[in-house]
Amino acid sequence: MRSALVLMLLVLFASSGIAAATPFFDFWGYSYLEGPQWQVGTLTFVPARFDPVQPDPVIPLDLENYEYTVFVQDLMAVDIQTTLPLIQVEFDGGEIQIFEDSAKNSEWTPNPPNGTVPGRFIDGTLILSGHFTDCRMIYMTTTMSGTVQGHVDWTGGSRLGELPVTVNWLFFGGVTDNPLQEDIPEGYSMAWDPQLLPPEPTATEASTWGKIRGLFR
Amino acid sequence: MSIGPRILSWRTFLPLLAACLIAGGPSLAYPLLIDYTGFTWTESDGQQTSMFAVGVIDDFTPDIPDPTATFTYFLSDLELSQVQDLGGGFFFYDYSGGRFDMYQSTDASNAGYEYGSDPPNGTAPSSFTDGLYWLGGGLSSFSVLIDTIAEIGTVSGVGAYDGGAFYGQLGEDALFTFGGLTQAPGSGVPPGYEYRIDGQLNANVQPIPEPASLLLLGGGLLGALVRRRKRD
Repeated sequence: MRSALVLMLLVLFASSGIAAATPFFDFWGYSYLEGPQWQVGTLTFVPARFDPVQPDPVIPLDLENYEYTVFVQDLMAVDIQTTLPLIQVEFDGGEIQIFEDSAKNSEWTPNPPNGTVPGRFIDGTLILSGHFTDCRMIYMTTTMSGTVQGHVDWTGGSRLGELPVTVNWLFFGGVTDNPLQEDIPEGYSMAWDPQLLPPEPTATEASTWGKIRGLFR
Repeated sequence: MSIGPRILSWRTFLPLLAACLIAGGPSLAYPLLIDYTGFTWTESDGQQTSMFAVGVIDDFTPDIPDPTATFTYFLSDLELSQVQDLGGGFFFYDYSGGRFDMYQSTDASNAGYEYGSDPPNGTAPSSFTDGLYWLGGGLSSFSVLIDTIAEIGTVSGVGAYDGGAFYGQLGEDALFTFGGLTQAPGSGVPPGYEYRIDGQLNANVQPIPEPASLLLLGGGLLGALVRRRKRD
């Protein structure tokens, strides 16, 4: 019994010192709108593609043989606060899907939706699907750049079971419609450069058997 | 007699081929998108606060032709020049100076860099600045907006590329970057770093003409000339 307790405490001590890199998915794309920009009720759609280098992917990806595409849809602007040069947008709803496709055919053609957008971003195998639980954008009119951040709960897809955690993933990244970002195709609203990160594991801390027993008194 | 033989004589063909070889044939500049991720930190000596970041390049669009290479970057020496309190927990920071430099190393495992903790340290920035100096430039303006309540922010900067192995392939020097910052729970910022950063750089590339295209063009002209002379 005593050796088991010592072993448990050793494990607690050891695990508290481990600092592993947080895995994440990194992708980019362009948003298009259904409705006027900066108006309540407007829907945002983002067809996007995974970067070919994923430094610490959450699940193994075969980036050589497949492309991984993302489609964010129906993010509805429900509150817009403008205090120039700052604009804040609260979104409601919003769904997200990730597809694995050997065709590698995704392309952002002008003036979406059209024959290839989002069609070529939602073909292949649906590996993950989920919804936003919150999402918010902050945007500076002077730099024409901003950030979007929210959280995603995964609920479906062929690889849902491989995720370490399915809820409360962090969705974050930069956005811009600055004309210096020359690659934004006609008909798109902004360039998006987001990441998806699972929640960090709960931290452990060293303790004593007496303190642990005390928690249950 | 048609106008064809006059245009496509040896006297006109050879200068035309030479001109194609010199000019490199038809080629259009195109935007190169460079996607980066990493972590920022700040240093202060009591007089001056400076911002830094290191990280990895995880996409070039269109592709850079070496899938085994790892590209890293060092965003350095951004000196804080002005802070504006915008209210509601928002702060706007203006920086002057600074550089964005990228490095290439051949490392198929993408493990040739290490963030460590509390930068600068034994591996950051040094493991991000080794290898071939690939492309870099100075920043003429760089700004950061921080929402201190939500712990997120955005960066935006402009400047000019001025060196590196890839520099000669640029059609223009102009540099633009934008990105997001977060230190929200779950962002996985290593100890001693300040924000996770995810952004993009833009460059304008003048493509090097492909030898195959030049051979095709020259061969076509030669074939047309031979055919014309046979007919004459």
